[in-house]
Amino acid sequence: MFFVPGILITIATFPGVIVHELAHQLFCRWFKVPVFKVVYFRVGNPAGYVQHEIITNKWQSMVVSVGPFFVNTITGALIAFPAALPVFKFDNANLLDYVLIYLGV
Amino acid sequence: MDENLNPETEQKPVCATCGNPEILEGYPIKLCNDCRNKFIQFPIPVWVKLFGAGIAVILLVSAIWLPQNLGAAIALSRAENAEKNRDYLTEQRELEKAKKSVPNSIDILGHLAVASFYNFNLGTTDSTINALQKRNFEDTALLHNINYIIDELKSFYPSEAFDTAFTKYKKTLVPDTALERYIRKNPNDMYALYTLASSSADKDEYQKSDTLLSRILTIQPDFILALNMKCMTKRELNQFDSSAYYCDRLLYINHQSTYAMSAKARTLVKSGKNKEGLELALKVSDLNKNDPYNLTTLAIAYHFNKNYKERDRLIDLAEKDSVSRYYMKYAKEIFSGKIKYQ
Repeated sequence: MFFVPGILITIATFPGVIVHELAHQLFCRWFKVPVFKVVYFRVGNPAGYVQHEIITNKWQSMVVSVGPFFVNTITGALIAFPAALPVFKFDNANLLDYVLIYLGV
Repeated sequence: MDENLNPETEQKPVCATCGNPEILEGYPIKLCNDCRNKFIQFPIPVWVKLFGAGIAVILLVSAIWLPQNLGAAIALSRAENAEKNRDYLTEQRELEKAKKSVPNSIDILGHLAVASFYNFNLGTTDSTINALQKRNFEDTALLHNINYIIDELKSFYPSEAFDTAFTKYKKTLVPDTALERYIRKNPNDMYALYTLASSSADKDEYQKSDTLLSRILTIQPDFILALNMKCMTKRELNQFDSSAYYCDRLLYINHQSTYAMSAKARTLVKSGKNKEGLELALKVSDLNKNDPYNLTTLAIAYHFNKNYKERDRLIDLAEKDSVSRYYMKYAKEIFSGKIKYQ
């Protein structure tokens, strides 16, 4: 079995972690939820987190919890898709396309 | 006497951060208005803001690229489907669109080489294949198709042996007798056989031309140049069914071969089926209204359908383009009675 240490995955995915935590913070700000601490990225588990006040409104709580997942997915798709076409469809990819796919994924 | 006389008095809650007694009620954590607002606006570090701005810029670049790449991908997919259906005219049109957005794509150029070959746009085929030199193909099926075309194209041009044998004729036409001598020594030289067949047809020696073309097709059954000319020689020999058969063979190779359809329309008109001939020529015109060969076919079809107004309009139209004018010369000789067509 090919084993990839978690720490390498953490380091490799750092752009996504930063965007994810930033999205948590911005959703909190949107719903006027106080935030006490933000760790945008660290080499550890979890790779990042946001400490905020308990949210009593269930819908707001849900948006703050899962919103960043959608933000990352959509942002990643928008970044990677135009670059994926030269790689998988046109067979004329350059380095920038691969960088964008890395960022998107 | 300093004892607390009222031990049941509750301690008033204060802000968890600054101790301000004026806390905002209704929240899980007791904070005053100022502290709550401060935590709501928890600062975002400059480096995170810059990082976010970078991501926004990348998103913007991707958003700019997306429409043109997506448009090209859709056009390429349509072209691939058209290629599967052997609709090479549609394929080439889609690929030309895709090429405008993505000019260096191996896949787009590769398929364009294939489509242009079957559409007989050999200039495009040649330039496209040159652009693909030393490129690495991931699509092995496409590479196989291109190699097949390159092999086919070899017969379109003189071989080294041909060039060496006819060095002295570089600036003049090679006489038929010299070609015949050469063919006796090189019986499988397709270019020589085709050149002689073409020369014979130019001299109205259609039977001789037809025999040579048959010989070519025995060696290479799908040699497009020979099939093209077979449509014409069989028509001139009044073997209309046979002419239509070769047109259909071309149409089997390329379902949208405007030449094959137009040649078939001429055969229909020559065999007296004027209405069917006109209908087919009009169908070709719908596919490609600027095809100079079909412009002439259409004029001939209108002539035999007694629509002289349309015929004359096409003659005038052909005057605007040198290739169309050249083709129309043949039709004019039919209209003047110099050539007996039916």
